[in-house]
Amino acid sequence: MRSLMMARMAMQALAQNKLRTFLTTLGIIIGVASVIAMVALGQGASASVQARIAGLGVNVLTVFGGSATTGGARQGSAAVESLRAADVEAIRRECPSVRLLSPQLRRSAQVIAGDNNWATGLQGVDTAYFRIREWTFATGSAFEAIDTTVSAKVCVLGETVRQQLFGNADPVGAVVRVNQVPLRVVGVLTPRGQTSFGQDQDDAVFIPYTTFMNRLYGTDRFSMIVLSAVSPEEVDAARAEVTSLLRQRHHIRASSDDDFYIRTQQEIAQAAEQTTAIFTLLLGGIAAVSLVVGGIGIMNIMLVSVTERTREIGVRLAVGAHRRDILVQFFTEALVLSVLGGLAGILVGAIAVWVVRALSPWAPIMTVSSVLVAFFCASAVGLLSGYYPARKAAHLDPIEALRHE
Amino acid sequence: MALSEESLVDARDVVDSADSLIEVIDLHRVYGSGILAVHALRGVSFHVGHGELVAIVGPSGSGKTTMMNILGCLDRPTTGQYRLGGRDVSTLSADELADVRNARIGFVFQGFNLLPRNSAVQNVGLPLRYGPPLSSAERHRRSLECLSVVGLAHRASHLPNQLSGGEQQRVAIARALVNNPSLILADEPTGNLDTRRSEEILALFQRLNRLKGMTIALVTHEPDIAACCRRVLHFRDGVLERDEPIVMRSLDTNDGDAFAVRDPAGPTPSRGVECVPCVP
Ligand SMILES: Nc1ncnc2c1ncn2[C@@H]1O[C@H](COP(=O)(O)OP(=O)(O)OP(=O)(O)O)[C@@H](O)[C@H]1O
Ligand SMILES: [Mg+2]
Repeated sequence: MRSLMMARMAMQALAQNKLRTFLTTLGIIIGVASVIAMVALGQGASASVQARIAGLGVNVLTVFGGSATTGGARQGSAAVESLRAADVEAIRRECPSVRLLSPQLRRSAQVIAGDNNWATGLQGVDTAYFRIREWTFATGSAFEAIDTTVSAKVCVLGETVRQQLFGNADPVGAVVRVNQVPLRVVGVLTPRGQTSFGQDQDDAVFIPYTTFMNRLYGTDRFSMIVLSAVSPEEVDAARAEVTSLLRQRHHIRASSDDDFYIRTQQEIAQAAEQTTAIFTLLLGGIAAVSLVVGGIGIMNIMLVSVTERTREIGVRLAVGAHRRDILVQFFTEALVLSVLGGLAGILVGAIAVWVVRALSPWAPIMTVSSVLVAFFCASAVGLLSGYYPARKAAHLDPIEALRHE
Repeated sequence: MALSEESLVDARDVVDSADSLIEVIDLHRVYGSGILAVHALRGVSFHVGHGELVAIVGPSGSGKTTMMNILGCLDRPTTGQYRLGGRDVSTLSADELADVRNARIGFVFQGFNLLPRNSAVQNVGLPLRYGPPLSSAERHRRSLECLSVVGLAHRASHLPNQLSGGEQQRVAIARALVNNPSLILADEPTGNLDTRRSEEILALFQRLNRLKGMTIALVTHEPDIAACCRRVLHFRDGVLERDEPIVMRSLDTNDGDAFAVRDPAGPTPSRGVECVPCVP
């Protein structure tokens, strides 16, 4: 009852000094908002990675040229071009657990269609690539197996490239040029959107890998083979078969390391997920620091306020306040500041998440647990930093306090 | 000022059972220690009976404020005894002292010591917040009543910095009155005021003393003000040099100066005395 009165008085004091109240809570507002926004961002990233794991065929494997120990879990272009077309043929012939396979070569290139041109990624693949990636066509179709055999001058466009070069027109049958080589468009892929790293999957042009190697870039080696096992259960068998075949073909002695490495899509996604988890932790950590700084802000203002209001405390003690009343009053001020800051922080955090959703390649996910944790951390920080000044206020000597200038 | 007397009865019984309200016996107060020690009071003894009106005078640094702080239970003597209403104050806990300050004593400080962000009426009501629970409406009513006692009802919602020095002093006096204390201690209540305002305040004290039987002790430097009391205690260098009864110069004219002790039920002297339990 008496404490209730002290709490009411604390609210009054806060209401009487709105600017100070606002500035004090600002630290907590920013802290809570950034914890919520950062964690939402991180969780959104990992969710989009998880969505990709589900979306990618569970039976897909990728063979990278180079060594796993130096390359780690590389996602994109591997550096060492230790693979050859003959390896592809050998795997196709001798590995029963492998259903489909396709080399994958990449270069950036300028693609020209009439007056338009567009810088994009040119990819040399087998026609099987589209089936491995379970990628369907919006118009037209994939090039034929025969196109690969004869290094045909054909191509498949990603949706972004189509839009940039042809606007709304249907490009099938039209001709685009890369490095002076004319390529007939045979199909356009359905849009896939961005990867979890913000890479636009639709910003690509696919041509037969033989065309890529023989007609455009004159190379006979490459660094990536994408393949699919006959079933998810056969993934390990496929890996073993491909490993022993390639070791044999590349004349690797038993004591030496592979000059290639194989990753399943899941391993790649998991590595990516690990990265996003660290990313979430890092973001959350930075945000947590700002929350603590916000708490120190409250402590600072409360200490200043105790000094500033020493006379007031003296007057209150002189007219009958118990030490506990003063403690409760100042403690309540700190509590209300941090709770107000926490609530406002949740609001600002939600707005930030909403804004980020519009701007970021992946949708941030605001979880109830991150909101609760941020809020209770804010309250705890506020209480801890409010207790010391409140105690200090309560233990002032009335006479000394009244003499304070 | 109507008070819920029931809630205060216990505390008052304790204090009012004695013959003298205040008994000070060989009181010493030493500030600090070692070579820095200041002997502010060195062996002071006196009694003040119920319903007295006492002036405390003396040169600056003679220990008047120190004495008032001890009488007001804000400070404790280093040695010696202070009995308030027959009870040795040194036996009371900090919270009990706070309750005594709240219910029994109205203190008017040398500075005004009003809370700067609170309106006049809120300042007056401050002691009510630390007493027995009251509704905010009741607190407001009582605070307003005390403000009208000092003639400031029309300034109720003004902040201290919107009031003149004299008005601020009167708000501080209204705050001292709000719990209807039996003892009022005023440390230079007229220190900042001109003669006319000073006399208005002394008239109010005389009226409270006469009608409500409040015991009042006030510190002053001005002989004119001391002359408005019935007894003068002269302090010098921490000792009570002289204790003399005087003939009071009465300022208390009933035809109402700037302010009057108004009672909702009619300002009859008998009723005024009746509601002050410290007069037997
Ligand atoms: N908190 C304190 N610490 C140390 N010395 C003090 C303290 N308070 C008062 N004194 C000293 O005690 C002595 C008495 O002070 P006190 O304030 O009681 O004087 P006073 O009679 O009220 O003077 P004034 O008329 O100027 O108000 C002075 O010498 C003063 O310096
Ligand atoms: Mg003094």
